[in-house]
Amino acid sequence: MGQTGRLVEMRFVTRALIVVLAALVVGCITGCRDRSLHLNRSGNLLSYEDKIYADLQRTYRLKIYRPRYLPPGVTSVTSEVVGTEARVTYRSSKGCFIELFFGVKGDIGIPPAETINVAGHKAYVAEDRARRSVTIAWMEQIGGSWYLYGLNTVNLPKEDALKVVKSLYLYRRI
Amino acid sequence: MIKNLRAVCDKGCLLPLTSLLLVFLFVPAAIGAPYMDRHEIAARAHSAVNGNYYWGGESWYPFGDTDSSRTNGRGADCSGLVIKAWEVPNTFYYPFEISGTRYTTADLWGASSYWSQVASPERGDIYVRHNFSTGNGHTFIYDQNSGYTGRPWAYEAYNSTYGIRYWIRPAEDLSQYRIKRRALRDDTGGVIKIDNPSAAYWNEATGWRNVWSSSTANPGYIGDNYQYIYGPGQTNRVFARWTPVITARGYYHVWVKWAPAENNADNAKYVVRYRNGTLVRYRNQRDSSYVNQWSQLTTSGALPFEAGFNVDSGSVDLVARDPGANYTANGNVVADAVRFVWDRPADW
Repeated sequence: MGQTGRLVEMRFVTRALIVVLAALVVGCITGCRDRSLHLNRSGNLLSYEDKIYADLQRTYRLKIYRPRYLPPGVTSVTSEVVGTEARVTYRSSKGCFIELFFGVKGDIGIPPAETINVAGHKAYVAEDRARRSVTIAWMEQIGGSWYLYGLNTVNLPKEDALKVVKSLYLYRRI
Repeated sequence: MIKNLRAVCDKGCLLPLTSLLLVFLFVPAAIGAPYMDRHEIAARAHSAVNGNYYWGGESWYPFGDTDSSRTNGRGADCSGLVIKAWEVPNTFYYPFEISGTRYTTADLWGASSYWSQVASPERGDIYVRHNFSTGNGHTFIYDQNSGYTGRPWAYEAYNSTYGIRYWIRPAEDLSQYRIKRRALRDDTGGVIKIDNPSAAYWNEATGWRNVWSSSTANPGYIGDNYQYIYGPGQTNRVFARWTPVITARGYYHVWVKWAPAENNADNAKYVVRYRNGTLVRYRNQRDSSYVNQWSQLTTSGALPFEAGFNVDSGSVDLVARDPGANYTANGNVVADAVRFVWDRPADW
């Protein structure tokens, strides 16, 4: 191979390295973005959460919401349907507890002063610092009846609870 | 069908059929909710005081819930407190969540065979408001006038900051509320009666959790049913406790009720806690003469009680097992009801 051939080969290798490096950089950025969206959702948890929601869609007749964001460390997800009520519960190994509730018969009562907008609804924010608990709830009218929707957290910073509830999207309309 | 009916009627069954129709028409639609007096409503509500406020909840451990992480016994919201205290549409035990019909302020605002609207309140009635355009509403249980305009003494699941309270409630325009009274009441002047679903059931291993068996098998009980547990089968301290809200300080006689049966204990132990004292009595729950009788525990005279809800100085325990006192009931102990009957005013 002549000098010209070596030069061509080096250029080719350099270009290939640049392409590979660029691909790695892009991949890393994409991956980081993906992790920032789903943070600690390991493949198993995500697929199990998919299954939970798919089951709910089959068995539960009212509106269902699903979070786009979950805080780090969530390791398990369960669901329960009793009558009009459905609950999806996330837990972490560090004692963090997040419960989404849908279609609960109840009342807002004397509303707390703090409100936020969740999926177009005026939601009330109640914090119980002694119990390290945050509850965010709103009323939804479905088929002429009013139901409580919301989330309840224990051992989760309020900022994270707000972040979870703001990430809710309507998984299934009725 | 009509031909068949005619044929039946022609055979002389018109009277029974008519009777059946009349019974069907005039039996109260509220079958399922037990009869109770206004003092039992107050006692049930008081058992929730200092408990958690929990949106959509209607369950509490008696004498103040302290743990929000449990599935049941987690607390109540305003309507949860009311319907659990009122036991509508059926009997409710502590500390469990309601699994069937669950009324909210939207229901309580309207008409029902379980309640009616009244002009002025008395103990055990509720105030309720509801906004049908937002779905928001609130309700609380009236206890008595406080002397402050628009601020009665009330049992109330207020919000997550205050929890469940017995208090002179904060000032609010009460003209937006309706006053409702529970149907199926059996008030008797001078008598405070508490049925078995309103007792608190203690097991050293599980805490305040009503896990005694319910039954209607033996006659002689009042309300929907009675509850029992087998004394020799218990290893921990196990008892049922009735705590009334005593309306006026003074002397009361204490009576108890059970459904007699041969496999019951003949040494059922009752402990009455009164002002500065304790009375222990044993009763033979096999004795069939008590099918339709109450048994008086205060056979040596009425006992003094302070007004209010005083677990340590105004309650009755029915004990199934108490290892510390070397006591075991020798059969089923049956919890049905207790009543406090006014005798005379306080002299202390």
